[in-house]
Amino acid sequence: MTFSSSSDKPTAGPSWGRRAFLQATGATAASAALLLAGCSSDDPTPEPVNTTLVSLGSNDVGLLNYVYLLKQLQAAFYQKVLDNPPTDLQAGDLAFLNDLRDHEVIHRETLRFALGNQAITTIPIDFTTVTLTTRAGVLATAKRLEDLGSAGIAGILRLVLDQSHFATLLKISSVENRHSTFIRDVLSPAAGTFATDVVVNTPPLLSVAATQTPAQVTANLAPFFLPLSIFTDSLPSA
Amino acid sequence: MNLLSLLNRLSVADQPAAPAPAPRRQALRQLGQAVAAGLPLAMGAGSPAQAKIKDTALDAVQLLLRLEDLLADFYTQALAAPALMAAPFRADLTLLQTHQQNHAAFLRQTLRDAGVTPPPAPTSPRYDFSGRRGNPSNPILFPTVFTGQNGFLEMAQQLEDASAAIYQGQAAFIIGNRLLLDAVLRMQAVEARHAAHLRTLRRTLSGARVKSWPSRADAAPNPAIQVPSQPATTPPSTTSIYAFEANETQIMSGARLVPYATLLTGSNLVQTNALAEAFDEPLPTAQATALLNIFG
Repeated sequence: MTFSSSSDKPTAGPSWGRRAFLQATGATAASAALLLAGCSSDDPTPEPVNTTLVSLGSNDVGLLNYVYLLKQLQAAFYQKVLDNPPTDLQAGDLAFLNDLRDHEVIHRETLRFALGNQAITTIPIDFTTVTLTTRAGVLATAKRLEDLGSAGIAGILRLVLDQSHFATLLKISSVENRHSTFIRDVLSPAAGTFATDVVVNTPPLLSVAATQTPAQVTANLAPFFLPLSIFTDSLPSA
Repeated sequence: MNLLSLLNRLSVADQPAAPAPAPRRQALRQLGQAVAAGLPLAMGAGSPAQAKIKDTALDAVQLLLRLEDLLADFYTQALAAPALMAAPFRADLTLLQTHQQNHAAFLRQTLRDAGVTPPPAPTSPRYDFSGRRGNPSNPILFPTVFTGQNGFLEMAQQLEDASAAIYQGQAAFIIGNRLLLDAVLRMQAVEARHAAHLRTLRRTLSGARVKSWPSRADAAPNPAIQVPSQPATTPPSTTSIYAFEANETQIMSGARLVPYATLLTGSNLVQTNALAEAFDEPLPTAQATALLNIFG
């Protein structure tokens, strides 16, 4: 694996981008029929699909777009809550919701900047499947998004090639785990809940963070992106 | 770092060089031959004598093992401390102890798999958390670590924040081995969870003004763990580990500074402290080693 240093290759910035999968460029929303047309010939006739696919691209561009997508969703969620807060919020809730919103906006803008013209478009978020009018609903959604963000980034971080991307995503990942822990602490201060199902044993690995693949994460989050559908098959996986 | 090890590091930086003892060579190969993500070579270091000490994957694993042994012993000593017998977070301590022991066991096995004999698992109490470095005539730097829950949680927060940051720093040296990198990254995430939870405990049980992520709005720990300032000063000076967390600049895509002054405007405006809070920062090897040395 080659890894460019942040100090010795000032031209490394654009080059990783130019090599990227063409479908990652701009706001790629190709129809499912077009993409499925590229499937191998021994595939049965594809079922007609009406959703519109968003392709994240490949290599680092794809991975950054994937995290960028998660950050778009998280930032939009906290912003929507703050624009119209539940009436049963408790003292101190608004302060941490503002902090979380700010962190996610910063993460989102960091990724948007890094991707430049290869960033996916701004995805409209559909919040109709979650309850944002009660404190319990907001906290449950926050937990879901922060848990998935943590497990999702943990699932791809080792695959990031560019050194600056890796270092920055690791910094973001660490804070994401703190967010997830914080929400779990707010929901249930009882001993151990901060590290129950998010810390796993998969021998020989013990007491390590749970991971999810991009396909698992985007499947869980699919209702938020409707009518768009996220195409993750082009992301690196090993 | 003993002399032999230092010599080996220098020889690794200057490959192909004078023969290094076979076990270390072999271990380096198995751990991914990682010379710090190509950084030292790319920086055009001349002779080994002029080069800075190089971090390798082997050095990283050994440093992380030392860290995990220290943390495991920290919780073992806490569980045995009379002043913490009735602490409301004892179940957490047991969980934290288990995590750290598991991490240490994995790192030990990693070394064995690479042909390196790891140091034996220490018998508690092995580390001196008073800051006296095992010498009763030295001044006590941290007098309240095991004498009550507030002092304990304050030290625990610093050690776990430091742990998450040390893992971040060392992960960069393991990039050549994706399997090991995956393990290290997933242990880092758990350390960050520990740190965030201990901050919650401090906030809710001790009434400390700390968020669950390092923030300039946090009340500074007192006493604070001190590590060498960066950049180094003459004469040498020290600073809190949180000096590193105050960083507000990030680099993406090679060497492009992210222009937050223009990005975070209008509807993207954020609070004053948010930029530093949004990123956990790595603790460099020199500071990590200095921190571990404080406790033996």
